This record gives sequence, structure tokens and C-alpha cells, in this order.
Amino acid sequence: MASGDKQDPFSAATAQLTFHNFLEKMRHPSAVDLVRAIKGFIVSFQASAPDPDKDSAAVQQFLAQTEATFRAHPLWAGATEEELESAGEGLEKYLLTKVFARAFGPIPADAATDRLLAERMAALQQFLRPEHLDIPASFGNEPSWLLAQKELGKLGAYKAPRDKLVCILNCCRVINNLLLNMAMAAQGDPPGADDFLPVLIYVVIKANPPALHSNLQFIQRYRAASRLVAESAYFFTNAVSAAAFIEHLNPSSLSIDPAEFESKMQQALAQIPPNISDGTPPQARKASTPPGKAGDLPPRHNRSHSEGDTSPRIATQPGMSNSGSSPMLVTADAAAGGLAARAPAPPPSPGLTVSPADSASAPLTQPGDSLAQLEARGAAAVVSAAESGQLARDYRFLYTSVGDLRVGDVDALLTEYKELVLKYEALARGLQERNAGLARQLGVTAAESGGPGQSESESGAGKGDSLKTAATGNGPAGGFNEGKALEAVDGMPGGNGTGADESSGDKEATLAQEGTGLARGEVQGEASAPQEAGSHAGGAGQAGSQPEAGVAKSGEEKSESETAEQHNHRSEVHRGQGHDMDREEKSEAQGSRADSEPFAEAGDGEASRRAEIESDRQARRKAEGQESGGGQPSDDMGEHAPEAARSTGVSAGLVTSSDESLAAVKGVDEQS
Amino acid sequence: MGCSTSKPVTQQQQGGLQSLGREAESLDLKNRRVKLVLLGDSGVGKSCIVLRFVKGQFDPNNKVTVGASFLSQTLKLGESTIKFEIWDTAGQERYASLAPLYYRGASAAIVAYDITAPESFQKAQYWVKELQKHGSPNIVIALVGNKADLADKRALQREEAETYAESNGMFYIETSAKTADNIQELFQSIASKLPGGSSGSAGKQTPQPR
Repeated sequence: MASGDKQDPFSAATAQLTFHNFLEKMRHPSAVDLVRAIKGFIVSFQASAPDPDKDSAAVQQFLAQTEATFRAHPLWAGATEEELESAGEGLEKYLLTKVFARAFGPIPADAATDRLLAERMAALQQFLRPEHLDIPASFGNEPSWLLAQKELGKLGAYKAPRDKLVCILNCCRVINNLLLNMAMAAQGDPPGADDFLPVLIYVVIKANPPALHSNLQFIQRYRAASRLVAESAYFFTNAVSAAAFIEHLNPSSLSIDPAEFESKMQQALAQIPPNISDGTPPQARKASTPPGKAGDLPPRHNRSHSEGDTSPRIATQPGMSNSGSSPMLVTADAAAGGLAARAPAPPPSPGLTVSPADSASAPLTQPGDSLAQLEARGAAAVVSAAESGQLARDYRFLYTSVGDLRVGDVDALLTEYKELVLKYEALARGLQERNAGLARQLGVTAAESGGPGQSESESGAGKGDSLKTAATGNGPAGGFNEGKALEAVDGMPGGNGTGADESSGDKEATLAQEGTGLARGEVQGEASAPQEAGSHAGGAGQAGSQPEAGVAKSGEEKSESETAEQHNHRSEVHRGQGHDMDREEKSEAQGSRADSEPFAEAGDGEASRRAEIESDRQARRKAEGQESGGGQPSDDMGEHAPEAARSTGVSAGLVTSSDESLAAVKGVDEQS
Repeated sequence: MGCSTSKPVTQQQQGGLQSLGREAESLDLKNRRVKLVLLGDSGVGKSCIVLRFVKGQFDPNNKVTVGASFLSQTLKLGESTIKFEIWDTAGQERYASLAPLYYRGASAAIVAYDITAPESFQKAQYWVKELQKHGSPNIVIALVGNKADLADKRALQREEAETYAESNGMFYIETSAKTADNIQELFQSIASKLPGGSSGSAGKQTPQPR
């Protein structure tokens, strides 16, 4: 419904296809100047020191200015307003996707507010009821609000300001539709702000979207001012005011006895740690969420230098991207965006006594049904946890794509990974033993019985399951909404989480193909995009779309045409596997320098660090004799063989386990 | 409350209005967009006033808009058009501190109260002060006594409000969202008072006839 209506604030101005049109334009030879200007801006933006106000002004100015240039450009001669509009949208999306890491939540104050909000919401959601906000009983149809919460929960899944904004609008729209239906059913007045805002606040609290404040700030700063108007602006303001309300909330803000409020709040706060932190203090987790998401580009650039060329290529093989050939910090199935990404990412440290590969696969292959059953049951819970956004809160890397990781995150990732492994191991083995014991006495039903062991291991399994949920987290929502709120957003962010990024991956490829001066370094810098494309394909296969194929193609052409050199470089790395640190470092460094001046500097240090990690990994793998999957020769694909080996090797066990979990979740999905 | 009878049912204007609206997107003096914020206690019928004004455009079956708390309507004024973008605010006390987020940048405001409810007039005066202190410098404020159809329950005399409005440089009008009385006039008046809005027409207290 309302699919093509231009009055619609959701209208498809930057729908996938439109965005691709923009990219198409950029590929045109006469766009070279534009491309150069855009790249130039990106480079200088990345290089400047973060300053939210200045950054915002600079981006806004550049967007406005470039749009004006579009207007006068022969490429758009005779173009309709609509086409120009979508070009502008395309530009915004492209630009902000590129500089996201640098632009998102760069100031500590924002992160602090994020933390405060998250903590409050986590506490409030435990006892807040609609009537505390004077939401009439007739509106208390809580299950329906879940839909709205889910929309909001996607806020962190996008990079482009517009896409984030659409999440908010979708949420508001769902609320409004429900209010409207209730009002009509009750023959009451049409809902106005008196009805709407309280419900929105309630929904926001229940959703507790990650980095809420930073996300709102990001939209405010970087959504082109000319487009943050009218209805979008209004509902955006509502979201901002909901956040402000929560931030300054006190007992008198609610219809609740102050003493009761205080005691409930205390109680709730006391309960947060087990829920939210599970190892890491909520602050730490929250604090690092935005940066985690945001990551600095420089590291990403370096990182990508060695793999630079794999990225487009990965995009070229949507079908096989989860074969483990993904670049770097593992996207093998980061692809899936979930555990795989999370777990294998950090190289297992030699200090660990448990080999991750062994550990993960063993319990799952041996115990037979009971564990699987448990897992399946846990999976259902995981699905709902994912939907409520809880997983994203508890596991900050769960939805992180490789491109968003910073080198600085490795530490945290590694720590979390170790914790996870050990905990999982302990639980799985404990359960196994118990099962064995019980089985001897009782037979199979052992696994059915309750107890902390069980629930714990459910959550352990759940972590694997979340892989699936993570990957498809948006899927259900999209489907859910189809009949309801999202009609107008077809193919838009509502639909799937990776669309935007994937498209920008395309852009990388296309620009690179143009052979524009900067394009190449850029492409390599932006490993993220194609990775996301990969993840898109690998993880959320159902979301696969035509444009993707397009992406793939251009990426491929590009990589083939230009990578002879990298190819060699790559093989060299491969050969030098693991031991020749110097060499690797050197080649990486070379890569950086050759590829892109602006990032070269950061590249070197980065490269060496990576090399260390790598050799560490490789050494481990050797020791474990775990060289699975990745030992391809340096054929065309083999370029990323080292990476592949690395990720598969290290993560083999976990990946398998997650595969199983995947299956489990799938089953659950289908059942429900 | 109290505007159930004004629940919009007609669709007829829709097409015309929307195409007008689209033209008004291009910002020039002849086709301006005006942000208008709606303030007032909950229950005074703020949103009803707007719904009355926007009537046909708001159609429950038309899911294009995100919701009824934001509505837009284009008004013809001589040769030019003005597109009102109307921002409703939550009137409950506990949200009062959020209002600045909404009226920031607004060039017009409707401060509504219920002529049968004295406390809503107090609240209206509070909003007026707020706007004077923190609103845009040239903001056009309309003080609106709603529910004029409930004359027998009137608790506030017209004169009182008029005097207050005058001393605060606003204009006052009594409306009934229920009967649609003075609704068009209200918006016409606002339009004519906007800086550069009307081409010289419109006196202070005289609503423009349609």
C-alpha cells in the first residue's frame, strides 16, 4: 500500500534500486569529477579530528553543495526533481556509510548518555506498565507494541542516517496505526500527540535500542537538513523527546507512588547486572558499543589493504561467501553477523588450555539428542531475545560486521571470546556428564529436567543460535510488518539490515572500476562494505536481491582486472604463512602505501599488529593440526586463502556448532 | 475529547490537497511551508481543531501519513499558498518540559484551551509565556478558546481572553472543532499574520473570508 506515494515520508527515494541508479551515475565517465570530489571529501573528513558540530556542518555543507552540483551537471540534464532527489539521497547514504565509523558517536558525552539511557531503560522495562504513563487501558494491547519495539531495535543495524530515521518512522507508524485502530474500534477520537507520545515512550523503554542517544545525534547531525523536515522531523523530534523524557525521568514523571518507584527502581537496577552484563559490566559494554559499531576507519583501512581485493570478490560470490573465505577478522560467517563473527574473530590465545575448535565441536557431536533438544528449545528463547533486541545489548559484537571492528576491539573480543568458550565448555561438558549419568538411570528424558545446568546451557547454546537470529533478525520483522506498517518501505531498510551497506559495497566496486585516482585505495579501505554484502548473502540468504547480483558482478570485474599485483602479494603472504612476520608485515605495508597514501601511515603499525595476530593464529593452528578448509592454493580465489584458512581453522568448531544451531533455529522458525 | 463528531470521513479533497502540497515543497515566497505548533492542556481538543482544518486529508484508510499527530494542510492566500505543517504536542503536564523541542523553529503557534475549563486557560497562559521566552522571535501566536459550542458550560468569558491576548500581542479566536466554527478563519488569520504572508491584506482581528 502506498508504495509509490511521494507524500510518504518513507517513500522509496533511496530504495535499493534508486541507490543503485545513483551508483550507476557515478560510474559514468563524466562523473569522474564528482567521484573525485566525494572521495576527496571523505578522505579529508576521515583525516580531521572528530568534532561533532564541525563534522555535522561540514557534511551538511558538502551534501548541499554537491546536490547543487548535481543539478547543474550534464549527467542530470533534464532530470526530474525526483531523480535529483534520489541522487541526493544516494549521495547522503553513500557518504555517511563511508564515514560512519568516524562520524558515529565520536564523543564520550554521547556514549555516557547512551549508557545512562540504556541502564534506565533496562531497569524501567522491568516494572513499567502502561498505566504509569497514563496510557489508557484500551491502549494496553501490549503485544502489539512489540512490533513497534522491533522496528526501533533495528536502529543500530544501519549506517545511513535515512535508514536509521526510517526505523524510527516505522516504529511511530506502527504505533499510530495501532492507536488509530483502537480509536476506531472504540469509536473514540482520532489519536493525537496526547495519546501518541506516552506510547512511544513506553515502546522506547521496552525496546531499549542500543546507543539510542548516539543514534539520534547521528541522524540529527548527518541527515541532510533539507530532508529532515515535515513529518520526518516531527516524528524524529518525538523520538528525541522520548529519549529526553527517559533521561530526566523521576518519580514525578510517572503516575506511580514515589516510594514505590524508588524501591522498584533499586530492585530493577540490582537485577540488571545478571541480565545485561553477564561478565562485562554494563557500562563497559554499553560504552564500547558505539565505538564498536563505529570503529575507526583507519584500522579498517589497513586491515583491508592486504585483503583489499578480496572484498569485492567476496561480494561476487554471494552464494559461497560463507564458505569461510571471508576476509579478515573472520567474517566467514560474520557473514551471518552472529556468533561466528564473534567467536572466531579473536585469535585464540596460546594461554588457553581449551582448543576452541575442539571444545566447540566435541560436546555437540557427542552428546546426541539431548543437547540438540536443549539447543532447539533455547533457540526459541534466543529468537525472542534477538527480537526484543536483548541479544544485541548483551553481546555487543553480535551484530557487528567486520568492517566495524576496530583493532582496539580485538582485546575485548578476545576476552569475551575466551569467557564464552570457557563458559560454554564448562556448561556443555557439565551437562554432558550429567546427561550421561542420568541417561544411565533414566534414559533420554534427562535433558528435559530443569535445573540451573540446563538453563545455563540453553543460554550457551543460545549464543550459537543467535547466529541465525542475528543474521535474519530483520527478516521476521519485515515479514511481520508486511501486512501492517511497512508496506511503503518495500526494499527499504525495514526489509533487511544489510541492504544499505551492501549497496555501498557495490559502490566501492563501481568506483574502483572507474579507475578514478582515489577509487582503488578506497575500495580496499572499505572492506566493510563487501563483507556486509557477503554477510548479507551468507547469513540472510532469503533477503537476496537482484541488486546484489549486480554488485557481485561489478565487484568481480574489478577485482579481476586490477589484482594481479595483489594476487602475487597475496600468494606471498600465503606462502609465508604464519612465520614470516616480517615479510607479511612488509607486504602489508607495501599494500598500504601503494594503495592509498592517506591511510598508509596508520597502515604500518596496524599491519604489524595484524601480522602478529596472524602468525599467532597460524602457529596455533599448526599446533592443533586444525588446518581445515582453507588450504586452497593461490588460485583466483586463493588470494584470500590465508584468511580463509585462518578463519575456518580457528573457527571450525564453532562454526560447525553454529551451523547446528542454525539448523535448530531454522526448525524453530519453521515450527512457529 | 469532544471532537468525535468531527472525525474525518470525507476523502474528496484529498487529491487536490496533496498535489497542492507537493508543489509547495519548493520553497519560495509564493509557496511557503510554515511550521505551526499546537500547545494546550490535554483534553482541550487540540488535535480536533487540526483534524477539522485538515479534514479530508486525514483519512483513516490512508496510511500514507505516519500518524494524526502531524498533519499538513495547504491554504490558498491570494496568489500564494501556505502549507501548514502542524505539530501536535502532548498536553499532559509531565511532558511540558519537552515542548521546546517541538516549538523550536516554529513560525506559528496555536495555544488552545477549553472555554469550559478554567485550569486549561491557566495552562494556556503558561504556554504563551514559554513561547514568548523561548519561541522564535516573530512567532505568530493564536490564542484559541475551543469548545465554543458548549456555551452553556462556559466558564471563561470571552472578554477576559481577549484582553489577555491583546496585551500579549496575540490574536484571540473562539472555535468549535465540533461544529467547525471559525476553524478556517483561525488558520486564515494565522496565515495573514505571518511575516510576508499576506500581500497586505488582513487586519488584526479580522479573519479572512474564504
